[in-house]
Amino acid sequence: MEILKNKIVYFDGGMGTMLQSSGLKAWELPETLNINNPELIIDIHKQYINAGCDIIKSNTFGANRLKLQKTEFTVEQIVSAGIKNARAAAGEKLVAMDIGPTGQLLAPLGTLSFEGAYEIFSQMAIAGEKSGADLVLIETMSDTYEAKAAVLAVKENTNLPVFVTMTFDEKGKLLTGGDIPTVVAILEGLGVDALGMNCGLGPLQLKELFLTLRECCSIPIILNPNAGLPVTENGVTRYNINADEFAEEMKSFAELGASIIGGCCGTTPEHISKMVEKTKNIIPQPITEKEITVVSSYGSSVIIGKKPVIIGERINPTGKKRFKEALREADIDYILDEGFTQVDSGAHILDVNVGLPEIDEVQMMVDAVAQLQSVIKLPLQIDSTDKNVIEKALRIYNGKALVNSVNGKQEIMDEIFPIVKKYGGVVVGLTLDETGIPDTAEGRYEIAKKIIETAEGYGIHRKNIIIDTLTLTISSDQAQSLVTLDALKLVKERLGVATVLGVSNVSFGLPGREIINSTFYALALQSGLDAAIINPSSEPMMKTYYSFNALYNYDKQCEQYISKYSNIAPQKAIDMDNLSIEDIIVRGMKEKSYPMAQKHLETEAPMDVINNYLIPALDVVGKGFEKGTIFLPQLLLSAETASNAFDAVKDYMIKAGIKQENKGKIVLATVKGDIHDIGKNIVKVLLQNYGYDVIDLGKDVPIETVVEAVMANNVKLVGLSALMTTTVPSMEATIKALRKENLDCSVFVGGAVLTQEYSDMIGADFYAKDAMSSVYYAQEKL
Amino acid sequence: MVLSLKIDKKEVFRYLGYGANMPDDNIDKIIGECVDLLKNNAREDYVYEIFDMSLEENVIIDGGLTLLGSDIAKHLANCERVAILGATLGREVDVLLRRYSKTEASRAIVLHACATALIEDVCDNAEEEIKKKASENGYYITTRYSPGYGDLPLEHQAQIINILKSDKKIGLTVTENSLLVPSKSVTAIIGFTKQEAECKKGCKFCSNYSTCKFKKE
Repeated sequence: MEILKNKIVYFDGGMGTMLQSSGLKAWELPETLNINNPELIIDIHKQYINAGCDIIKSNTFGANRLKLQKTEFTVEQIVSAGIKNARAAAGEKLVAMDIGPTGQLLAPLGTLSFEGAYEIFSQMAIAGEKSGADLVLIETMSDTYEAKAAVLAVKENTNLPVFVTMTFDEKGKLLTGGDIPTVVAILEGLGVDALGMNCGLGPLQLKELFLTLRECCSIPIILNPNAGLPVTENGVTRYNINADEFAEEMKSFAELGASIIGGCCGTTPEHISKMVEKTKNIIPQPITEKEITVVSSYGSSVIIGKKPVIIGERINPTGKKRFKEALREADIDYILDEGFTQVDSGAHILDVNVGLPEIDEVQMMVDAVAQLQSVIKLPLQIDSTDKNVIEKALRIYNGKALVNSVNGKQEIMDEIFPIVKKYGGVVVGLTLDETGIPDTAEGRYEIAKKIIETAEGYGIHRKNIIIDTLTLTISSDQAQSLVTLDALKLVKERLGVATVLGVSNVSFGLPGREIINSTFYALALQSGLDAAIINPSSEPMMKTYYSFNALYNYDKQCEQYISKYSNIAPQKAIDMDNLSIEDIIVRGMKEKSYPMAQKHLETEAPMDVINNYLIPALDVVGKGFEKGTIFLPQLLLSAETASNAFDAVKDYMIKAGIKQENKGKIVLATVKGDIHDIGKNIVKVLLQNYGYDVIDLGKDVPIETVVEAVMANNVKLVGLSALMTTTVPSMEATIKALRKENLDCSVFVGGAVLTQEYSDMIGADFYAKDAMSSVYYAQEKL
Repeated sequence: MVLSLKIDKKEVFRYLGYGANMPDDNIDKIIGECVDLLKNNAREDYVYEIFDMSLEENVIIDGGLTLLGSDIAKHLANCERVAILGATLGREVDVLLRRYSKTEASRAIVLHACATALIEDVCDNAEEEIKKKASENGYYITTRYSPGYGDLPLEHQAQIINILKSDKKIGLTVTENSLLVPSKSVTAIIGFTKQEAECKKGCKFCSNYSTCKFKKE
C-alpha cells in the first residue's frame, strides 16, 4: 500500500459497457470472454493502462459458483484466465481481483446463508491470489452482510489487501437501508484497507455523499462513479456525462480527499485519461483518524459520547422466571417481543444476554442475534462472559456491535481483544481486575487506563473502548455511589473515552427502586455518563432521560420532551364492566384480554378459564370463519386477543409453580427452498391458541431438520407449507423422508398452489385448505 | 424512482378474502396503518429493457433467450419486440412482513395484502411508461405476462433477472428455487405489436376463473 502515500491512485473504468458496445448480449456472462475471447479483454485492459491507470480490475465481477453453474467453466478457470488477461495488460502495474455480489439475497430474506456466501467468496479469493492478483476489490455491494462475508473470506484465506466499494442511492442509502456512517463503522471494524463508493450514481450525485463519507472515514477513500446517469436512446443505453465533465468532477473529489479514483459503468479509457491528466499533480490529503465512538446494526448507527444513549437491558434472564423458561424452550419469539417493546420505548441499543447454565449459550446467542437483526434495526450489545459466545456472535452479526465486556484482568483482555480486533466492535471495559473492585475513584481510573493501553497494544483504537466504573448496591455500602460517579468524571476528563453504567444495580434491596434509580441516573448523566444500561419501559428513568436532554440543550426546542409529555392524561381504567371475555376475544380487543383473564384467575382455576371461556370463544370465531361471516384478519385478531389471555394464564401458572400440560407437539415448517411463510405462521398462531406445543422450524427448512425434529421430540403431527410449484417437490421429498424413517406421524400440507389432488399425489395424510381446517385435523389426530 | 404511492383499498379487501363485504372498523384501522407503514418503508423501483424477439416454435428474445411453453408464444403472437420488466418494493417491506408475521399475524396478513396492491400499482406505472415508448414507435402493447402464468415455467426468473441485471440495479434477485426476493416483486413480459391486440384482460380469461377465490366479478 506504499503506492497510496505520494500520489492519487487510479483505477480503470468500466468493462461491462465496453463489452456491450463490442456486441456482448444482455443474456451472456461477460466473464466467459476471459476464455472465449481473451484478446478483446486484454485490449480493453491495455487501453486503460495507456490511459494512465495504476490498478486494473480483473473481468471477474460475477465469476462466482452461482453465476457460472450454467456455463461450462469452473470458478478457478475463469478467475485464472481473468487475472492472466489483466496481468498481460498491466505488467508492473497492479491487478485487483474483482469480486461482485453473489446476485442472491442472504438469509433470512433470501435462502443463501452467510456461511454459504463466505464459501463462494473464499473460492474466488483463493483463485485470485493463486493466479497472482495484487489485491482484492469487493465492489458494487448493496448489503453490508454480504460485504462482511466477502471481507472475511478474503482476509481469512489470502494475504491480499482488501478494498471495498459499495453502491448507494441518491439519499446515501444502500438497498438494505444502511447509511454511510453505518457502512464505514462495519468495514473499518473489519479492517479493510480502503473503502468507498462505486456504480449506481455519477459524480454529481455523489458529491454530498462523499462529504458525509469523509466526515466519518479514517482510511483511504475510493470513488469509482458511473459516467453520470443512464439514458436510453433507441434501445441503446448511454451515460450522460462526457469525459471532460467527468474529469472535472473527479478533480474536485481528489482535492477534497478522495485518494483512489476511477470509473464504473459508462466510463471509458477517455474518461480515465482525462481524469488522470487533470489530477496528476494533486497531492493526496493525509488520512486522519475520526475520533468518534460508533456502533451499528445493518441499517443504522449510534454515536456514543455526544448525547445520552440508552441500552435496553431487558433481554437478560437474570432474576426473570419467564425469561428463563423462554430460554429453556428456545422460544425466540419471546426474546423478539422483549426487543420490540424496548424499540418502541425508545432504546438506542439492545443488550443481548442469553446465558443460562443449562442451555447451549453459543447456539442460543447465535440464534437470538440472527433473529433480532433480521427484524430490528437497532445495534446490539453482545453480553456474555464466554469468549466463544462473543466470537460466534460477532462473526454473524451484521453490524459493529457493542461487546459487554472485558475488565482489567489480563487473561480476559487477552481473550477478548483479538476477537474485537478481527471483527470490529466497541468494548465495554469494567473497572475491576485480579484484585477486585477498587473502592476509590483513583483506583478505578487506573484500571480504565490499563484497559485502554492494553487495547491499544492490540491495535484497537481507544475510541472503541467505553468504560464502566461499576454501579454498586448502596444498601450494602452507601459510600460507593459517589465513588462510581467520581470515577466516571476522572475517566471522562483524563482519558477522554466514552462511559457506560448499568444503573439499576444501585437500588438493589431497597423499596421503591425506580425512585433511587432515576435520581442516580440523573447524577450519573451530570457526571459524564454517555450510555446507560436501563429498562426503557421504566417511566421514571425515561422522565429523567427526556428532562436531562431538554435541560442540557440536546433536545432542540424541547421537541422530544414536548411531544412526549404534552398530552399526559390520567390513565383511564379500561372499561370492562359490560364485556365478557368471550366478547373481548370475538371482537379482537387485544389490550383488554390480559387483564380480563387475570380477573377470572382470581377466582377460577387456570384450566377452567381456558376451557370455559377461551376455547369456546375461539370456536365461535372459527365457525364464523368457516361460514364466511368472519374473515381472515378478524380470525387472526381474535386469535391474538385470545393469546394475550393465554399469556395471563401462563404467567399465573409459572408464578404459582403449576406445571403446564399441553395437548401435544406439532412440527411446522415451510419446506426447503420456499421462503414464503405467512401461511405457516397463521396456522401456528391458531394451533398455539388451541393449546398445542408448536415446534416452528421456520422457512426454507432442510428435509433432515424436519426428520430430526420429529424424532427428537417424538412428534405425531407435522404440518408442511409450500407456496410455489417449484417448491412442492421438496415438500414431497420431506414426506418421503419422514415415511422412510417409519415415523409414526401424520403429515398435513397447505399452501397456495396445493389442492386435494396434489396433496394425495405427494403422499400427504391431509390437505388443509385453510388455517382452521388444520386445527380441526389436529383435534382429530392428537 | 419516486412514484406517487397508490394502494387501492378495494383490491386490499379482495386480497383479504372479503369479496363484496366491508371490513369492520378494527380491520379498516389496521389497513390504514399498514398503508402508512408501506409509504414510509417501501423503496419501490422498476427496471425494464426492450429487446427484439422472434417466434418460431418458441419465443426467442435478443437472439438467445428461449422462452418455453406454448402460452407465451400465443400471448406474443404477432409481436416484434418485447419489454421485460422487473419491479420490487424492496427489502424493508420484507423485514416488516417478517416482523409482524412473528408478532402480530393479523397485521402481517393485512400488510401482505396492501403490499400486493402496491406492487401491482408499481407495475401499472411501469406499463404506462412502456406503453408510451411503444406507441412512439408505432406499436401497441400486450398485457403483462409473468413466469408461472399458464405453462411459462417459473425457472425463467433467473434468466430474466440476469438479462435485466436487476439484482445490481434495483436489488431484485432470485433464489435457486426460482422465487423472487424481495418477496413483493414481479417480473413480466410485454409484447410490442403493430396490430391492435384484442384486449384479453380480466378474470374471465384466466384458466382458474371457476375456482379462484379472489376473482373480481
